[in-house]
Order: sequence, then structure tokens, then C-alpha cells
Amino acid sequence: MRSLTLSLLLTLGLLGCGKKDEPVPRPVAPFAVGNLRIDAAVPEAQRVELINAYNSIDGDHMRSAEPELLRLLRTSDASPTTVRGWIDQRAQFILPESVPDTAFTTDGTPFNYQYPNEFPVFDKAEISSAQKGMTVMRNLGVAYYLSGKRMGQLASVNISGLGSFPLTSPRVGVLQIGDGFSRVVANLDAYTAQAYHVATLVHESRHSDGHGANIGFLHEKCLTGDYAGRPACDKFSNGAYKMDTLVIKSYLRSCVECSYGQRETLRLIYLDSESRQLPGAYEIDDTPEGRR
Amino acid sequence: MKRLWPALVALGIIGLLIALFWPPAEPISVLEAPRSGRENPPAQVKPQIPDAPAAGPAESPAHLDFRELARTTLSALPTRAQLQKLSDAEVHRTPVMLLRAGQSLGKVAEAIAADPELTPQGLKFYSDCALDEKVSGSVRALCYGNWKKLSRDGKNPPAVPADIRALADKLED
Repeated sequence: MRSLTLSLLLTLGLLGCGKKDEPVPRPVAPFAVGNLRIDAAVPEAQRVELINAYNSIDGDHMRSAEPELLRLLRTSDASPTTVRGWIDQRAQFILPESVPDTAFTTDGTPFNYQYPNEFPVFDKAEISSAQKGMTVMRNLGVAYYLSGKRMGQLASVNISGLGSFPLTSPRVGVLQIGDGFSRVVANLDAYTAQAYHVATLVHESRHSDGHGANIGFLHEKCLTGDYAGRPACDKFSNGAYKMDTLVIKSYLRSCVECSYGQRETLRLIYLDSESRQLPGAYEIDDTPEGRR
Repeated sequence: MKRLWPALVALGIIGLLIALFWPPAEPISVLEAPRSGRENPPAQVKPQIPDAPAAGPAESPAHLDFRELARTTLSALPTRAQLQKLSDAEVHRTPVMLLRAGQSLGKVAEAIAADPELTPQGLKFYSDCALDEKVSGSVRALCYGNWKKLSRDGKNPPAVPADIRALADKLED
């Protein structure tokens, strides 16, 4: 039923996209920060917030990262260069909250996917292109990639103002930014907002990892707690929410002169992310599928 | 002057009669002294038992302020029911209501740190928060963790469920 719904969604999207897109040379992004290229339709407030968040990594607030984060990042340090590089390998394009149907296309070209018969058991809400409520950010690249894989055809993502890019791997890195990215942190101080945003970037970038049945480190429904029944938990102990906790913990450790309000807010974000680990969570191979 | 004599004699006789026959006030035992002004009017008690508090020890402005801060903070903590009403998109990342709760709890922590005399009230606040089953589990865990941190001996901790305790144990300090 889930695959049927997704196929229908994609079919509708394909019908709406019309004729084959001509290959477009990669233009200079009108808006970019680091390796992230931002769709021209992303509202200015979100764009500015994103650029500020990415640049805030240079503040070196993750210098006190614990070994567990370094192990999961597969890095020897959490310096600004390393963290930016880690994100850059997994995130490349930023789509707006209202993604047009034409963002996803396929030209019918057969494509030899890795692990051709292995698919994750995912939740419709996790992978559908439209969501109710305020979106902060999510990884659409893995959803688009899986759509192409199910059809056995090479899919592409169209970025307004930039062109069309083949989705040869979730590592192509297509993130969707929403109104929540700027609104959720509206009343927070700069440090806490940066921590929240950087954790979000790392979280979403993590969804570009994994392969086969575990591609994308997709979320699972929570069994108990605040989000019982919602696709807001992880069965993987090295998944996106675990990355959250470790990033926030790093910010907490660097938070020597923080106010009580900053510390309590960060501690609560940390606990909220920790609470999303399902009992018996286990670690999986994070090797990505396909090549960017 | 002669005219005043009968009046003075009459007043003297009345005074003598009052002194002899007026019933004395019954003594009030300190042990029986009412603790709450609601049960007996303080005006009847205070003059006879000056050391016995009529309505508990007088609270300092700081205590009164904290009591109000605690009351408003507790009543505004995000509940599980509120979190359940959010969309899947909104619960994907830490919801804004939890971020606001963190800021409110920061004010409580700051007040306690600034005035050690508020420790008993602080412990009660964190205990009330941790025990409230309607409140978000993450918030309860934070309150429980703060109770443990604030409590010197750790005796008589709030009886929170095991999952709340386990989550709180993940806090570093």
C-alpha cells in the first residue's frame, strides 16, 4: 500500500513534468554558502537563517566533541573545516517548503542501482513530498532517489535557478527548508539557535547515508513517550537523532559562559533527541549507496 | 467638688465589682496554638503567643517572587497532550514549545542559584514538575535531573517512572 501510494505520487509528479528536460550546465548558484546551493524560491528569511547557521560552524563550538561523535562522523576532530566538510559531502541543494511537482523528474533512462532489490520499510509520512504543519528541514534527496530506484530509472532534481541534477545517490544531498527553520528559533539567543540549526543540518545530512534496506536512516514510529505513534524515533543507535544529541552535547560543553536559559534549553533539546532512541536501538553500516 | 463625690464613689464600686467577678481569659497552650490564620482570627492569638506564627514564617520578597515564578512556570510546561496535537512535520525536530520551556526552566534555575535559601522551594518545584504525568517526558526528566543536582543528600527522590529516571541519567551534570 505504501509503495502504491508513493508510485501514485510519483506518477502524478511525472505527468505534471511534461517533456524530457535538456541537460543544463551547472550555473553559478544565485545563493550559496559553502557547498550548499539554495533554490531561488527559498524565502529570504529562511535563506539568511540558513547561511548564518552554516557560517556559525566557524565559531568552533563543537571543539569539545566527545569521541562518540568523532567516531560516528568518521573524523579525527570536529573542527569547523571538518564539520563543514562532513555536511558538504551529504548536502548540496536546498529546496523550498512548497516543492513544485517539477522538482522531481525522470527521463525513462534505465539505471543500474546498487542493491536493486533492497528497499527500506518506510512510513508514508516520512517520505511524501507534502507535509502538514511547520517544517524545519528534511531530507528529500533520499525520497527522490528511492522513487527513481523503484522505477529502475535515473531520476533528477530540478533546482530553480540552478538546473537539473541526476540523483545517482542520496549523497547528491537534497534538503528541504521550511518556515520553521527561522520561526522555531525566533525567540532564542544566537548561540542556542546556532546549536539547534547546526544539529538540524547534521541530522538531515545523516539521512544521505546508509544503503539497501537501511538507506537514509529513515525514522520509525515512536512506541511510547511524547511522540508515541509518530514517525519521530530511530531504531538505529547511529542515526540522525543520535547525531543530534552528540552535536547538542558538544555545544553544551563549549557553553562555559552560557546563561541558565541557554543551558536549560540545550539540555532539553538534548533530552528530547535522546528520548527518540527506540529501545534496543542498534548500529548499522552507514556506507552510502550509489555515487554522487 | 462636693457634687463629684457621688459619681466617684459609684465608679469605684463598679470598678471593684468588675475586678472581683469578671471571668479571666482561658490560657491558650502553645501546643494548641493554631497554625493557620484561617482557623482562628490572628488578632485573638497573636497578642498572647507572640512567638507562635499565625500563618507560617513570613516569606521574603524573594520567596514570594519564586513562588509566583514556580507557579506560572509549572502551569505553562508543555504537556504530552499538546505535543500529540502537533503534526508529523512539527515533531520531526524539537518543537518550539519545548524550546520555550527550556527558557522558562532557565529562569527557575537562575533564581535558585542566586539565592540558596530558595533550595527547599526549588526542590519542591522540580519534584512537582518531575511527578506531573501530564507534562512532557523530556521536561520531567530535566526536572528530575535538576532535583538530583540540587538535592544534597539525594534522599527521598520523586517517585518518577524508570524511563524518566533513565533519560535523566543521560544528563552530564
